[in-house]
Amino acid sequence: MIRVEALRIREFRGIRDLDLTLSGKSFVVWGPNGSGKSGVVDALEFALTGHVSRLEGAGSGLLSLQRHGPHVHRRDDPAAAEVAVTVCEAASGKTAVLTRNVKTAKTFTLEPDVPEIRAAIERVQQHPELTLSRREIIKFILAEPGKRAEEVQALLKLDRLGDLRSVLRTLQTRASSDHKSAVEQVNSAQNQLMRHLDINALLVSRVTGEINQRRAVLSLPLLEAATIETPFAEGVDRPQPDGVSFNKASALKDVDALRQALTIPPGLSGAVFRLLSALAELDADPTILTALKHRELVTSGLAQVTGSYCPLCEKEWASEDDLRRHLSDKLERSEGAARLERILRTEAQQVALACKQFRSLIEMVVPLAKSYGPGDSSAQLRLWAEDLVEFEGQFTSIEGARGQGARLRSDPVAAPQSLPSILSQLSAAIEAIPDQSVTAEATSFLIVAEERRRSVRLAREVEAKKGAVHAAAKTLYSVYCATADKALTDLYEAVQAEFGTYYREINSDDESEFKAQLEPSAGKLDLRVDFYGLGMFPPNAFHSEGHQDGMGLCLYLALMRQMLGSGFTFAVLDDVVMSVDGSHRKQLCNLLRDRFPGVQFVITTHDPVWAQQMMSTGLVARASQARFHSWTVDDGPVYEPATEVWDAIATDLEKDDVPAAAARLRRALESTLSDLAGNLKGLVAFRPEGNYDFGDLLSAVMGAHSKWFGVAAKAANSWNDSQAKQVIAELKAARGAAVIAQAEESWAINKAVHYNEWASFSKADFEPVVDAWRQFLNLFSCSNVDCEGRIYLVVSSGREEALRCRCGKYNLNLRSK
Amino acid sequence: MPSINEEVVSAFLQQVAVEDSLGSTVAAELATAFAAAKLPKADDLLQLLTRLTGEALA
Repeated sequence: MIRVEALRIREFRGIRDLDLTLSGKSFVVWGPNGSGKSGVVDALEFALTGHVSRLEGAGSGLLSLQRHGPHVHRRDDPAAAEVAVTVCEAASGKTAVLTRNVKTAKTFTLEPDVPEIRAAIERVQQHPELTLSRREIIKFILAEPGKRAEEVQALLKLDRLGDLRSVLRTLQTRASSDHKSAVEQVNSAQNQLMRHLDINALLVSRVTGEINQRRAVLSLPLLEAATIETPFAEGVDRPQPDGVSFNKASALKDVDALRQALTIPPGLSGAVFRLLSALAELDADPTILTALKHRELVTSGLAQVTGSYCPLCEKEWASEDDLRRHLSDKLERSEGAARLERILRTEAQQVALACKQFRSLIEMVVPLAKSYGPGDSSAQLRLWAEDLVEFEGQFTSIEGARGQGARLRSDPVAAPQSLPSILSQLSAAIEAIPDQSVTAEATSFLIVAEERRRSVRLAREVEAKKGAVHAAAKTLYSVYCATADKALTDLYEAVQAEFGTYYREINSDDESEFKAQLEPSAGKLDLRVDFYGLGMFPPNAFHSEGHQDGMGLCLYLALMRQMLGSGFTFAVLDDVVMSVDGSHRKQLCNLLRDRFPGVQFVITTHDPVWAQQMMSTGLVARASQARFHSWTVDDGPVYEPATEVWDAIATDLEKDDVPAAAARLRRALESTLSDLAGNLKGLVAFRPEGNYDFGDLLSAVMGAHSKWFGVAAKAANSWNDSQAKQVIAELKAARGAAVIAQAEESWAINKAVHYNEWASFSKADFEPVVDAWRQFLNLFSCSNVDCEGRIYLVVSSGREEALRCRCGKYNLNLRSK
Repeated sequence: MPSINEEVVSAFLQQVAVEDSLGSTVAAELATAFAAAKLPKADDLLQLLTRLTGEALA
């Protein structure tokens, strides 16, 4: 993807006018809280994505990018708020300037408009997680398993996996519903055939017996076996080829079937009872429905609780426990609502199915009513059937079912009041028809039987197709679940391994055996970590806040590596490790430097110690920093650009500002000697307040340096390594000269001199002092400009192995033969 | 590099193609549906399966 070469910010957030040169390298913005560092993070995020997380999402309330993105003095002029980023596309090496202003935040200009860079920017826009704060990172660790799964899946862009799973589940549900309906059609058609044949089971022997009995009357060849594939009426003369087939006995049975269904609606009464009970439960507590609607919101709010301040209502609660209990109660209530919803849907489907069965009975009687029924009885029956269709349609949603409560309680079937009379008159009219002759009865019997056989055959064909669709949908869903679950398991195993490796590297001193388990299960993602070999626990069970910070960052890095692979080239880490202690931060710097050499990290911190560690470990070059001192509303951050200390001193001296140059030199020496004492194991008398004296540090560094030169010389002799002997001799000579020069000028940086004698200390007097110290400090740095690293001891298994720099150009063996 | 979503969809279609009850025709039609819409609608997939299983029966 991309790296950032330079950043220009105008009238954006707390910044009025700021230019930073990053040169595609890792960069640190450091300074006290409230000095404007976050403005840089916001500007990078805005330029690259068109968004500012701080102004969006939960807890942002009435904030908006348009109104609150510009500097407060330009809040009515969003076009003035502009960020320009010079980006380099990592693969092609091409660069362009991306410019975006708040007024037209959704679009950006690219100059020159290089396709590779535009494509890279569009990919970055899909990954807002490239800019993360501690609060966002720690949520991967502290989240409930269900929420963690959501967070991680959102980060990895896995939400589409869930969306597709949901689509395929819906497909399966609809196919199942269609199939159920087709099965019901088969049952209905079979019932009609069995009613006509006057049998209670559709067995081949029974069917064959009834059919052959009539075929024998008509002297037709008997059927060997009457199955649903056998034409029952083959050879029968059809007296009414286009009319309604009528068989008196069968017609009376159809009318009677409808009459009986009215008195005992079979599956309907049970389903209606259960549905009404569920609706009553819902109506008794309207908050259940609201809870269902708010469920998602509460789940997200609970995951973001980090104290007594509620991220949803933006109010302070008595305690974090009170707030958590309140939100958990809400969630529990919505879980009940979700369970109730499932019951409602199941029972509503049953009611709809029962209505369908009713309609099939009505449809059998309608043609009879048209021929033999009283007045407009067939029209009344048709209207009733249409009403049932509409009634069925109400049960596709909970709101629809709720609206039918009154009808469900009183008379769900809602037959016309005149129905008993219609059916009585219809039966009487059919009864009054003279009995058919034996041959006519046999003929009509076979013709009706054939019609109903065809209906059964057709219904079975449809059912077979719907069944096949349902089976295919089921297989698709299960194949998808198995494929997605395997992919997720593999992914999580890889993330778990990488996460563990990173964490062990940061905590090699006390948790070198650390293990982690990342286990997906039923939409959740459980994270358990080893605690000093005593068992696997949730990460926030026993580990300190600092360790949790470290875990959050390690998990984030593992996830990003998995997601982007070699495309992980840029990340903004906004004050992410505030709780990690000093020694582990140094290891963290090493991890970022060694494991992610291709990634440009832009890191903000309020902690000067960590900022110095980033530079001393070589994670960021000394030139790749911006130090923010303070901030004012009118001018924005007061900051010190990344300037080599020697250049800054030279600038001071050019202005004849010797006191400033001296103060800068002393600060630089104190900081550098402190790092060097650590790097070389220099011995300094312990001070509880950690405020070490300049003189103590200098002695410690010089003593250790001398000692390790002695060890290196002895080792070179033991191996008879002439080249090493030569290098050591040269280094010793340089050291001798530098130490003499430094000793001659060391008085000049005494604090007392600074405070009392500067009026008479000229630029010419001070320049040799600077040169002497520069020469002295060069003894401890690599001469390779790309390395710039300070030398340090390499220790293995408690033994000092070498004195070297990061790139290895400076490398003295300390182990003797 | 392909996203995890793309990898899963690709593996899913490969598995569909070798399933006895589904097969390469279903896989090919699904691939077309996924190419047309990254997240097809359930109704469209239902129509697709109905058409394909209907054709198989004929």
